[in-house]
Amino acid sequence: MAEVSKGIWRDTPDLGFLKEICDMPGGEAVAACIQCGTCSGTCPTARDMDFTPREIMALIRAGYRDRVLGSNMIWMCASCYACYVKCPKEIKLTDFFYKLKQLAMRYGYANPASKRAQVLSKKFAGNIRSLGRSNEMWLLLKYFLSTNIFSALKYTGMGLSLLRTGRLELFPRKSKSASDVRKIADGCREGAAMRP
Amino acid sequence: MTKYAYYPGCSMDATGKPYGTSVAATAPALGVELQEIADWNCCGATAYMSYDHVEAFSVASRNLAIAERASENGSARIAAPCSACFAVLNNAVHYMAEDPKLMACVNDALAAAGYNYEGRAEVRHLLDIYINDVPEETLTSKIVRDLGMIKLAPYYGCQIVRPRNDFDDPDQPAKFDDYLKLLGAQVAYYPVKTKCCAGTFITTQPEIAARMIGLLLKAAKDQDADAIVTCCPLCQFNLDNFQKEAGDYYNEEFNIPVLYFTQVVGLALGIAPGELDLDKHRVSADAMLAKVI
Repeated sequence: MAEVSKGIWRDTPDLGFLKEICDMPGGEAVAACIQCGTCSGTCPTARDMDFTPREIMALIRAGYRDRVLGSNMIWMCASCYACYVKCPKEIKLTDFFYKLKQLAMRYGYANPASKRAQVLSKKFAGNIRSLGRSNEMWLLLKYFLSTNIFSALKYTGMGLSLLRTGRLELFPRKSKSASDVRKIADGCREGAAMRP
Repeated sequence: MTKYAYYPGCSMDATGKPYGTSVAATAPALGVELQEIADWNCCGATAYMSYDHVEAFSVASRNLAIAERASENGSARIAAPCSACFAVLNNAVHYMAEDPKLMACVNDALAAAGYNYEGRAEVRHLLDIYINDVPEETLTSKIVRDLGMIKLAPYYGCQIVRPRNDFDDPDQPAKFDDYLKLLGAQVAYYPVKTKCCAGTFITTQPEIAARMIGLLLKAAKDQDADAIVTCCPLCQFNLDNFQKEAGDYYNEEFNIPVLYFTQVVGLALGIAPGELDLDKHRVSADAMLAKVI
């Protein structure tokens, strides 16, 4: 899928996309949305989004695949669950956006905001598969190597402070849980067809 | 002594070390017995959920299964000090209870490593346990240090109260405020108490994170709070380590210590600040400590 940039959208309504979303577990929630905008009003990052959460729901119903999966909205969700507890139709919005993130990754949609979040997600999951537990230092190292290594320099002062106070684990320790975690994650992939 | 299966979470060994230290220093005194879940693994947090939610729940549920197996009667009472761990584990428990298909899928994956989750785990945040399970007299009878001179801002953050919790309001909770009062401190009016700390945006969207963190610092500064008190290692990390960046965004200077609630409990119980790792934060707590010691 081509990179979507500069807010120029060439997609045309495609109701197949609406069907695909509705067929996804929890996807039927889009039908319940009453477009009240409470989600956008409670969202702490709505002002940073190209489309607000309410607009995303409307765009799904209108069948705009590229605008939805290529938008930065889903990646600007910080998982604070403010909209989730306020939605008058009790739509589990945060979970719904997790699923849109997964779809966007699966189809290769990317924009400047999503790229970094996608890298972090993938590196985080990889980190746990190999170590069993998350190692912050190792995760950040891999993240910055895949994005912009120079931006890591901004964190030097913080790193030194953490090191001085014994709050930085320089070398990843492999937890005994690692082999179990890998087996479970693989087991999950094998059963992918029946998953909810 | 009330017994819990303890799920410390990954931060406790690294950036959240002062939290772990102060939990260990205060829990026994309050009759809270924490038995660490053997060989626990990462909860997956929000980053794993964006990658694959079923896989994330399966990996998280390994911890539930181990806790169940280790319990005396097959049902596990889990204590999680980190709000992100709490939210993921608590979501896993509730979503599997509501959706047998998800539970079957998770158990299928767990079977690959020889585990099974029976659906008999209960997950509680450590703050909830300190507030609701420790009898008030047990706490008040042990308070030996007067915290009346300091004003604290109770910061819940998001994931301890949302998407669901059984101990306080998801939007305007107040029990943390009452708890700090019970410990003897003054409590600052802090209406942003459940606003987001920016979470992983600190890595992926640092400019937006500076704005979100600055909002929380400014609200505490405007109320002349001596410190912000947190109950999550990621909240503490973000608020403590990015005061310069947040200050640049608002054109202000921030210098507010950010503590864990367990450190405040420890202070009230008369424990020495060094034993609570109060010297291990980025922003020094010395000015605040001078008022109570």
